[in-house]
Amino acid sequence: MRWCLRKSREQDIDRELRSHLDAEAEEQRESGVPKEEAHYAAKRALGNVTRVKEETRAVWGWTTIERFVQDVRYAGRLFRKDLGFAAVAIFTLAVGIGANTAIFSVMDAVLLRPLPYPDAKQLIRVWQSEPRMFEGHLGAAPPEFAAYRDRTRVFSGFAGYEPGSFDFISEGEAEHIPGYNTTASLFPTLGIQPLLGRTFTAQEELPSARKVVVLSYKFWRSHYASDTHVIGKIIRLNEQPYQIVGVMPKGFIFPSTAASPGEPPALWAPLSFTSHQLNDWASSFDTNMIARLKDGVSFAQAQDDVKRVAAEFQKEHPGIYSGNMILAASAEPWSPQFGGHTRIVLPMLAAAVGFLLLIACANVANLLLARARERQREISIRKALGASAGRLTRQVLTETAILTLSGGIAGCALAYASLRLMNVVSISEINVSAVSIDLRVLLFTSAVCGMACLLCGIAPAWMFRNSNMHDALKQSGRQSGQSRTSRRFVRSLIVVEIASCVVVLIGSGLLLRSFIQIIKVPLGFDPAQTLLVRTTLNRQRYSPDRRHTVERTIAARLASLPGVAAVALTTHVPLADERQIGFVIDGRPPDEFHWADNALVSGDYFRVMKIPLLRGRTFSDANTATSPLVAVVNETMARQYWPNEDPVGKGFHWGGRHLTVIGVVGDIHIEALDKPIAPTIYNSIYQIESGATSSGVFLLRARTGQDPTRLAASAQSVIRSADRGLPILGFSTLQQVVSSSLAIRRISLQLVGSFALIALLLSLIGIYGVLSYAVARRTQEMGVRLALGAKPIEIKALLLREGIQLAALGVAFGVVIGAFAVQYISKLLFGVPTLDPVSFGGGVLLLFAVALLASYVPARRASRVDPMTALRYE
Amino acid sequence: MAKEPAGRVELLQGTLDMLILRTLLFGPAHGHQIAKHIQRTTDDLLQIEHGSLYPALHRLERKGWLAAKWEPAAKDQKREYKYYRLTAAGRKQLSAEESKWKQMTQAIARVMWPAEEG
Repeated sequence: MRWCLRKSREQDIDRELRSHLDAEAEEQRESGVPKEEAHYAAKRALGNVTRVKEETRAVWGWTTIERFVQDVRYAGRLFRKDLGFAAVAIFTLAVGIGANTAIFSVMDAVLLRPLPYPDAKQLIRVWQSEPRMFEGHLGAAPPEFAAYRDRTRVFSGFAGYEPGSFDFISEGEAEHIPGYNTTASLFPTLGIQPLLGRTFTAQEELPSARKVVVLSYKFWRSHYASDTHVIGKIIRLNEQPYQIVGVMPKGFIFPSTAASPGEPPALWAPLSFTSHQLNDWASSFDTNMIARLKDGVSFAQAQDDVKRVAAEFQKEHPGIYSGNMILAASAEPWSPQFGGHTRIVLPMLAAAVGFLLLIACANVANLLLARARERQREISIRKALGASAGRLTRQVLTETAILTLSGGIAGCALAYASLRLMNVVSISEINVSAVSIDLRVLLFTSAVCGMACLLCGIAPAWMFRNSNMHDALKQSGRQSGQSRTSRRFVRSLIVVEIASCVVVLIGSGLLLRSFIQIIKVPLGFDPAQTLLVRTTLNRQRYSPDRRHTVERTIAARLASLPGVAAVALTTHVPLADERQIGFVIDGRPPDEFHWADNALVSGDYFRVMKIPLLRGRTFSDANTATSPLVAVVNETMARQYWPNEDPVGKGFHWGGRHLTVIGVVGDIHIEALDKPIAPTIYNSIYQIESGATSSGVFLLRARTGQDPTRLAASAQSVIRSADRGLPILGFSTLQQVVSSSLAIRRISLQLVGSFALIALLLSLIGIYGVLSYAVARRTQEMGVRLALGAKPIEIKALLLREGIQLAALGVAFGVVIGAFAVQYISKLLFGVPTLDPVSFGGGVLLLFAVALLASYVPARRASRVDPMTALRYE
Repeated sequence: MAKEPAGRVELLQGTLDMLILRTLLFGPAHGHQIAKHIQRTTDDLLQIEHGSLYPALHRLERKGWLAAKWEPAAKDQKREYKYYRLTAAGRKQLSAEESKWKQMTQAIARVMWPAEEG
């Protein structure tokens, strides 16, 4: 519509000026001037008609838009003429911008996106730790939770939650549903209203109350087909009736987020504590705590308050909280849990792609500079015709903007494609399919495009402004525009490029060496030829006796399958699950607690896992639930607690029980390959009741030659036949478990490695381009040198030296920046020092090699110049 | 007749606006008439390039001090001219510019001819 307005305004101005000319011509005629003369006289009086029209038009403010459109059209024409240049520039920018888009979208989904709860910044995680024993974050025991809930003064809402295990039988098939047991205060604290029905009341938290449950949106849709009359229906979970009282709205998956790995919770049930539990201080650390800050309270005040309560209740029970069992409490802003590495890996990847973008922009800026030099005459003519410096700058920026915008769009497409590719890989720490290119990511990409436009456009714009008109208009082309400042520009761009490349190379070198070191770490067990079948035996359905019977039956039947060499049972799989228990060694003070990793296993677990038995014996059928409790410990535990004695026969206390050591086995990595091996206590799965977990994993070792994954189907039918109601959670192999535990390291290595390769390639192209151009420009000089007797080898050396000089400067900067940058990823490194000479040296050498390679062809071309043609060229 | 060099027109831009507004105080006129009027009234001393008149007229129209309309000429009904007339805002602007001009000329006079002060 504005365009029509503009057209009509144009016509208006035309008409007005024409009428003016007519009036003036008439007046001239009236004063006796002949008709023809009158017309010209009128025109003279008016002055330059075009300029008048221009100035009048300018009043109406169309000029800016007109000029912009003009610039765009002009740029389009230029690019069409030189399609190769445009393609290279756009592709380079697409790679740089696309990488940034992809990494940012992952970072956004995992770390940056705000939580979907109102005033999410006021949500606090309260956690405990045992500073004398254990680094990690712990939850609270029931009475401790109650203490924090009742005695703190800074929170307007306080809630607790624990992961729960729910078995659901539908159509005779047992299904395991992930969910959480939470206090009734959780939903008001988070501030989310249910979609249907209500959430639980405090009454329903009592152990005697009727069991209720709140469903998630997804579960409601998949199992109840979004039936609005679902409220009040009964669902049988863990063999017990739960009444459905509410359905949560779409997107509510507390405490997971969309990017959290694994299944999001399907339902929430009340968290009840018996009165016995409420008096059992320091018994467990299972209850996670979340609270909402009152208005006007600061984080520091919350910290102090929480610490005060912790000190208070520990003082009230000095018998329990003494020795090693001292708790420290802390409060921090609540955020979803991700693996420890995620918070370092993602910013590291972001930095790497930032450097990549710098390199891409430097290359494109160099390309534009080269073109700017060729367009010197055109620019000078424009200047002579009256173009202002501002106008020229705007034109250059418009051209650059078109390039960066096209690069940005292509980059988004590249990012989208690579995210889809990444989806195929499963990373245990992040759910990649939740990452998408949404509005926030697009906004970020536009910002990156804008920045790239400025970075690339500054150099040519500056050159345009300062180009010397007279030199450029002279016929001798060789005088045109290699001013010293422009040469310095080009060189500094290359130095920046090389420095960035070196940093990324160093980073990838360090990651590579760390990874090599990690895969050399001995596992302690043999992961080949194994199949894992995960099941869960919940307490309501399986009494201890029934559980043992089922386990033994299934183990026996599985062992008799053809292709199966041996079967064992465990509750926790190394490198996938972990569990710690606190114990006190016999003869030591009763409050000197220590931690050990723990798993409940069957007697032949060690044999099946090929963990060597170093002393004593493993569990046998003699170790039943009624016979004295025994344990098998690992080497580290033996060394740490019974250094010069035979641990067999020694005892320790755990959770009110006394256990005797009957054997020592070799060390295995349970927590992670890059963490040191912890003391480990194994108990017999048939002897001890696991209080905390209902998990049961059948471990099959296949005969040689048998593919373990093919055994899955027969294993499944065996289990079904033994007990129809036992849910099978999934199959995997120990190899998969091991590689999945390394997944995030492997992927960050692959990514940073690819970025390093791309950076090297771009730097190669950059150096090659700059040197080629220099040679082309200095053909005459080369011709003169050769004519004066220089040998071709000397010319080659001259140019190679130039290339190496540039590289050396860039490398120097890169090494210094690299030395600072690697401090941030020191937590990721394993077995390599941060200032690892091999990685640094390797990166430097690689870059020099690339610089030499890039300089070689232009150097050779320079040495081949025919002096006669060079001197004749004028 | 002294011809005003192109540079001087820039200086007179603000003054040109004032002259145009004043001219239109008498009644609506089209561009050519305004130019001729100024020329005649100042006895050809102030010769405005007709070309600088039109950007000024359009600027004043954009600012809302003038209203423009195509009307047939008084003399010859066949021809149409774009007639400008003063708006109420334009009238206010005119008095504002007048007082500013008076202030400025008084100040300059005081510097130039200080004896006349006493």
